[in-house]
Amino acid sequence: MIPRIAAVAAPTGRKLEPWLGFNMNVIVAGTGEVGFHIAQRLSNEGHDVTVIEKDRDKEHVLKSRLNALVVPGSGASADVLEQAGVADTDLFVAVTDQDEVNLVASMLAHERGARRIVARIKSLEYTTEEWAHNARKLGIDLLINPQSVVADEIYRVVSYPAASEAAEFANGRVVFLGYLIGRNSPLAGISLKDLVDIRGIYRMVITAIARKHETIIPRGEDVIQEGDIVYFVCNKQDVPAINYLFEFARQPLRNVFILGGERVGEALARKMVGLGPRVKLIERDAHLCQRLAEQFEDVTVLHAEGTDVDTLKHEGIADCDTFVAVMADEQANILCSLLAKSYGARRAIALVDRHEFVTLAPSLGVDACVSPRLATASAILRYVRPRGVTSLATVEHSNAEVLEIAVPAGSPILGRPLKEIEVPRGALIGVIVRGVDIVIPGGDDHIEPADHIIVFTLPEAIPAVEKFFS
Amino acid sequence: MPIRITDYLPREFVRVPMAARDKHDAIVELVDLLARGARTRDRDKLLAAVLEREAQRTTGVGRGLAIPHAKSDVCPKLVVAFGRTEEPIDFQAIDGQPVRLVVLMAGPPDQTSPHIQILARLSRMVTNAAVLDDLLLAPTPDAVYEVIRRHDDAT
Repeated sequence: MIPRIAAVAAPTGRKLEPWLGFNMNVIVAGTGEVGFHIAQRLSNEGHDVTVIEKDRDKEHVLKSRLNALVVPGSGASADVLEQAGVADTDLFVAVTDQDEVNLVASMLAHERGARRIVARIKSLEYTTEEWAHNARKLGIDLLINPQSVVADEIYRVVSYPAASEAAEFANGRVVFLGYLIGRNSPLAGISLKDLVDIRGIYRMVITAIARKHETIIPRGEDVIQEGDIVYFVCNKQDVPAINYLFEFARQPLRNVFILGGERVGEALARKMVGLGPRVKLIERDAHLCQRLAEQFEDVTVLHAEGTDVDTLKHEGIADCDTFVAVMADEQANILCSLLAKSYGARRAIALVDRHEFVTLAPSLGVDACVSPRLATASAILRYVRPRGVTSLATVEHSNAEVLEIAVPAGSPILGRPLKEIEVPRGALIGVIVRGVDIVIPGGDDHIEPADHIIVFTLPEAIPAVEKFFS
Repeated sequence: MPIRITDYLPREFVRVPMAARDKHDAIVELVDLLARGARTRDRDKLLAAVLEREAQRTTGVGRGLAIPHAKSDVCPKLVVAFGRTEEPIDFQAIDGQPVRLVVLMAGPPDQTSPHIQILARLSRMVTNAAVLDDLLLAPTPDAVYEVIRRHDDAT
């Protein structure tokens, strides 16, 4: 039995033991939300992190809040890069505010010997096929576009109605889902032991429960309460049966409203049309509306404010299955989501970036938040995981992670019953992916060579988990 | 106070032995038992709901037990019917084993919590080898009912 572990949301500044063999020299150029988050995560995991920041006023704050060396200056300056030790860098992350600075910094870092390079590029002009080719020439291994990443993320959340968290593993055959337990949920008052007993027919593994400000890995006697967010993994094929009994599901998606027609809204509208529902895109800017209307045949483009209740009512907000607010103003996104819900929208998803709001919004009634910062950071972190970890999702409330791991041949844990394996504290094996089978493991099951395992881990256990399964 | 199976299983809803020789007939036989006992307003609707749920994924939990179930407004109260077949039948159970114990559960959508708890309790009951043996060997419906009642009292 794994002991109960509590994690405080967003641990800061705590130095953990470096993980043997994986300790990297990392340079992060730019310490906006994304850069700060990545630097914090990687330094907490024991890597040697250097940040480059041109704004000297931020230097003091960075030094006090990050376990990292701070080099003042521009990432696009060769001198500054030398000073940051670029020649000996395993990973160079260019995430300043300006695309061009990120491109130049990446190119310089590549020339000076940085081994892997990730650059964030905001402009969609740089994300075409042609640009992927250019990026390789510049030595960039991964080009990340926050708008695309966040549109992908929202699309995934929308396609799992009612989930506050959704991620797919094993090429889409395994899903990790998180659901808020409402007052009328049949799961309120049910013990974990009961759910373990019915695993024969309801094949899911509860990996964690978020309760107020902590995330716990539950034990058998723990009881699910109203207000909890319950996280589980299961075979995607079992989702309909699980939805049937536990009542997570709503009606199939028919009417979707998207508030905000800029890049994220546009990319999302394009994806949603393919999914089948009627899509209405609301945008306050008349010129943008004009352009969107010309571009989309199957989307109704409305020129209105998100607070324009008459228009919302007239356009059928009462029949809206999912309302998605993706404007640049995150506070407006939260408020307009709540407004739409108060007029009948059944589900509201808001683009929210500040950690405080991501934590607050669900308690106000926003069903799911998607954060460009977390989505971008997790896309980058996914890339920097050691070999063997093939896929990863970050849980917004707690920074916990779900990893898909290919256990290497020769690992001492292969072939041993799971009850004899001491998985690191704060981690839990969800399911075993064995060829075409998805195994919900019990204590007598074991991991075979070529299996993949889906592991849930609290943030403080991540280094230990990666070491343990490698 | 743990939930009791016998609070939801009337003595007259134990059918031993069942006439059914396959999965579909076993479900029909137990649905008819509930219908004759006036525990559903619409026998056909209930049967359709149980079969629809069964089509999503088998309810054969392993160890020779299957628990077909459904939530439907045509059942005003959560109710359980218990049957034992003469011969083992194929239920496409999770452990690949054939089934002799078939337990039907039906209740309204707003009684899903006890529904889940009874599902868990039934699944747990057959992990006790002695109880499982007693359930398979008890000669009469009354004797089967007593095995379940004793298990309720003991845990």
